[in-house]
Amino acid sequence: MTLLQIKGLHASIGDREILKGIDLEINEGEVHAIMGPNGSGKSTLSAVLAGRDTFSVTSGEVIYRGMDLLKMTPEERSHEGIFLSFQYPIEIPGVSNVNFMRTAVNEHRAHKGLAPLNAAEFLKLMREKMEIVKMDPSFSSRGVNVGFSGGEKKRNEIFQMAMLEPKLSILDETDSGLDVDALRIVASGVNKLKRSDNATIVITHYQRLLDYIVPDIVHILYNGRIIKTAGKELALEVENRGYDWLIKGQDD
Amino acid sequence: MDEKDDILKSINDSEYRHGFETDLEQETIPKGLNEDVIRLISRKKEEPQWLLDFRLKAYRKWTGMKMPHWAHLDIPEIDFQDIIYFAAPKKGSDKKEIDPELMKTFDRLGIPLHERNVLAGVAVDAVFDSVSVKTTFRESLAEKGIIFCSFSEAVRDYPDLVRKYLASVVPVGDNFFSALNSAVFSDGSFCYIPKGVRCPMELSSYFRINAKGTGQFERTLIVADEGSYVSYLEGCTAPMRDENQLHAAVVEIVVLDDAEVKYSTVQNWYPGDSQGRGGIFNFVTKRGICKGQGSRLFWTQVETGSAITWKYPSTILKGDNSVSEFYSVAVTNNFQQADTGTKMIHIGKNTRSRIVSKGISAGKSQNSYRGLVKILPGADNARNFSQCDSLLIGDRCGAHTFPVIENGNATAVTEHEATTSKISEDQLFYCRQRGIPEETATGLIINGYTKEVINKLPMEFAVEAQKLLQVSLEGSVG
Amino acid sequence: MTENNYIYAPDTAVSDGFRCRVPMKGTRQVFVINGGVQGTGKRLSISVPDNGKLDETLQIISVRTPEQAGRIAFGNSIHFGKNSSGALILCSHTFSEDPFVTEETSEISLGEGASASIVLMQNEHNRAAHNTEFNISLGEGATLNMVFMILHGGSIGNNINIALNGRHAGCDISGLYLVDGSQKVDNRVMLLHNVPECKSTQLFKGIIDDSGKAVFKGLIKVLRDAQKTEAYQENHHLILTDEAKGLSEPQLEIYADDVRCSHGATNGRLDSDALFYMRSRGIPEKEAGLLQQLAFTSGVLEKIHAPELRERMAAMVEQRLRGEFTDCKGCSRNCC
Repeated sequence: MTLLQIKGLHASIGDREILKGIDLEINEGEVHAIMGPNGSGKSTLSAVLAGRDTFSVTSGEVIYRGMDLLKMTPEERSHEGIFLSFQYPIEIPGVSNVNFMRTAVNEHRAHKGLAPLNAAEFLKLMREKMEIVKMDPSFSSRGVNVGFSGGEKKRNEIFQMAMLEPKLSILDETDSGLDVDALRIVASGVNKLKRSDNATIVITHYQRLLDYIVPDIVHILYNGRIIKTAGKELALEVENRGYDWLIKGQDD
Repeated sequence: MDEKDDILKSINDSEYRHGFETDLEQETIPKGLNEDVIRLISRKKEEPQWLLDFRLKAYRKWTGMKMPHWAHLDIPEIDFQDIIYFAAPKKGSDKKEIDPELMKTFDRLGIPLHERNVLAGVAVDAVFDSVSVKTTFRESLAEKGIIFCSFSEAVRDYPDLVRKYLASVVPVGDNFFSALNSAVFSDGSFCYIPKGVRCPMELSSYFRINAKGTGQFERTLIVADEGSYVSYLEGCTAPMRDENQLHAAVVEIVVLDDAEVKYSTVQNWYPGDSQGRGGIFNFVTKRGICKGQGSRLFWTQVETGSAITWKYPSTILKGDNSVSEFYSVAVTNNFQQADTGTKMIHIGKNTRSRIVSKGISAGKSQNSYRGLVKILPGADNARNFSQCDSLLIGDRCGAHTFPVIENGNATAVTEHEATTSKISEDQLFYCRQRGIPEETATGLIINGYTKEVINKLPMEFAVEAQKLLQVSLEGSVG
Repeated sequence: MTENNYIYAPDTAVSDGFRCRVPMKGTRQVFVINGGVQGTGKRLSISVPDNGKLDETLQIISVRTPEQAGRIAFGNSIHFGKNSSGALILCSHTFSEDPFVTEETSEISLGEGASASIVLMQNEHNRAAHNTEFNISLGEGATLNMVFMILHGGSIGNNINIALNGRHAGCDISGLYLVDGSQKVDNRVMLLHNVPECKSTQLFKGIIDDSGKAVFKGLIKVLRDAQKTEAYQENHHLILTDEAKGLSEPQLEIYADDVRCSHGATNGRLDSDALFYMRSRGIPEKEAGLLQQLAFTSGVLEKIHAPELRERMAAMVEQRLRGEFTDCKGCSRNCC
């Protein structure tokens, strides 16, 4: 079943157009990789899908599970199952991870008409999910991302993903700043969360992460457009040959 | 944008939960202030001659002083002849029998006066308008030699202690309001912790203004003798009224060698309505002296109330190796104005001070931090660190920072940092991406922002203070 | 630093007019004698036309001479037209030990899109008092880089009022003050963000020795409509003796909410760990202290973008901190 349909999406920041017509369709059970050199618009695409208002959508549409995604607030998108793993997770001093996640989980539950979890139920759930990314329980009482290393922040993102059980996860450069061990833990976390009724978009500019999270489809984004779509072998080709052969003649 | 307006609207509509009035028979004296009024107050309180002389001297000094206007406050003209300087419940001023209405009032405020009902480990001195109506746990504290009673009783029972320390930290003529308070102060709390005694419970004073047209002028004196420890907390509320009522208190704290005092305030005087009508004018002088070697004084304040707040709890670090900290959260909303901060005067060697101030302005309010850090030439190796942050909610309010740092010692080090901003868009978006609505997210972030200060409050009150912050910014805090 | 190392005594007669003996490359000089421009006697007024560009750095050397001792007051004005640009050096000196009192007003305006770089050097003797009021305004998109080098003087006061009046205007103001003996330096900055989307940064640093006294008062005021303002201010004092006094009053007055403003102020001493470390490597204590002081000054010196001028200033700062005459290499006139 189709989960997400992007048609002719244009988006800009200020006067600068960054996305110049994106078309993309994602079905349940699929893993898509979006690759491209720096500045090609990868992070903009993920921010627009999550509803960041620094970018304005100038034309195009996005249908998500039959809904007009662009009309929804960021929290509504979250409630409907969109999860963005941030390239640079935000620090929120003084707000503990446990408090943050409990608020988020209970908002999701309220949206589904479920009663909030009590403290004991919540802590149990939290411990289970932390296990998925091998996070130390001591992290739960620390401020959200405050004083976390790069790797810890990324693990925290995947932990939150596990807590919220999204339909569509967008992993924005989740591999950046990770050493091989952390990369393995994070990737195995993502794989454990994979189901036949959800989908993942992996944004990266290295092939490395795709050794662990194997994509069904690979897209190359360049200068605000998808210039090539193929199977997972495309990622390997990019790894060997770089982007130059793809982008030749693409600049306008 | 619409959403933002909603938040601002609900902030403005937030409710003051302690605004009720107690209907009971009260005794008041006529409006106005002159020497006869002072004699009358003193006579009503059956005071000794020395205290009457103290009051009259203060009054004479006050008549020659002018209202201070240096603060970043727009203060309407106050007619000091239009204020009632003494009001007391008719029944129970002798403390033998408390009017049931009073019991109910304090119950409603969450300050039960029956010892069996009170918060575990907290002794309370309850002050209603001009008199103290009840001090709990007085007897069990006395077993350890701790004196905790109303100021009037202290004058009667411990005149030597009172005479020794009264006005020793805040001189009568220190400022306009301290002089006024010295002339007309009615009641307040007195506590003395003897040498080497660690006070086993939190001491707390609760101040309630009830009568119309009155002002409250309480006086608090805390003396911690060598090596002793006490944690003291004050709270305050008042009914909702269209008129402005004046509160001008003086708090003096004396900390002797190796003693430690924690002084916490949760200030929730009526702030006025969303149109800026009514509310308490809060002009308070609080000062402590770290008098001996290794004395320690810690201030924590959560300021959410009052139409106008003018308040700078200060420490004189006289003893070598003495330490003082000041942690403050000040919230202003609607038309509230606050000008608050601290002074740290370093005199002794190796003295240390730390200032953490968090301001939050919303509505059309003005919120200022004002501070002085002064290192005198003898204060070798003195250290100060100050961090003052301001958060703005909405574009009609103001946040201001006015520190003064004066260093006169080559071995001293001072550091001051201040920031002003609105709530970070990145933080808000991150929360919303996780499904937390904007309003709840704002509340979470504000709680996080104030946490460092709230954590300094005694545990029993930290939760209350957090709730109070939420009410004060209701709407933005889910 | 040691006291009384400043006696200005030009070694040659200057009746035929002042000249600089060691001018920097690409610099054109103008002398102002007791408030009047040499040759005309008129007040200084510079106006760079719209779209104009000063090819050479204009160095204005203002001196007080014994011919007119006592108190004088004068004004001057500098205007940069639309989209013009240029660099200025403004120096002030005293040529005798008379008790000069100088009251100066300086109007500096930058039109739309103008870009200016101004370095001031104040280097006067111990009996001189010099107060200057700067009224500076910036139009839309204008940028100003201004550095105050306050090397010496009995009592030096700068009242610096800056108004950012057009969107996207930006200013970067900094100052270094070296105070010893019984000298006094008083810098006050009032930075007004009147319109949205402007940026300002301030960095003021002072080394205070002997019984010197330094005051820094800096107000950043952001008016209600000045959204998206960025304003930063830093003030640091290095205090070398117990008699030396440093007073910092950084102030923020903010009436707009979408802003990023901050200030920081420190009062510190020489780092004893670093001193010990250097001594353990054989560096004498005095030299080690001097190295630390020099390091302290570098942040402000880096704000001078022209390399030759920066080097010259760095050399003069070092001479000053060593207690020597701060004159240019190869010149004994002791002006600059």
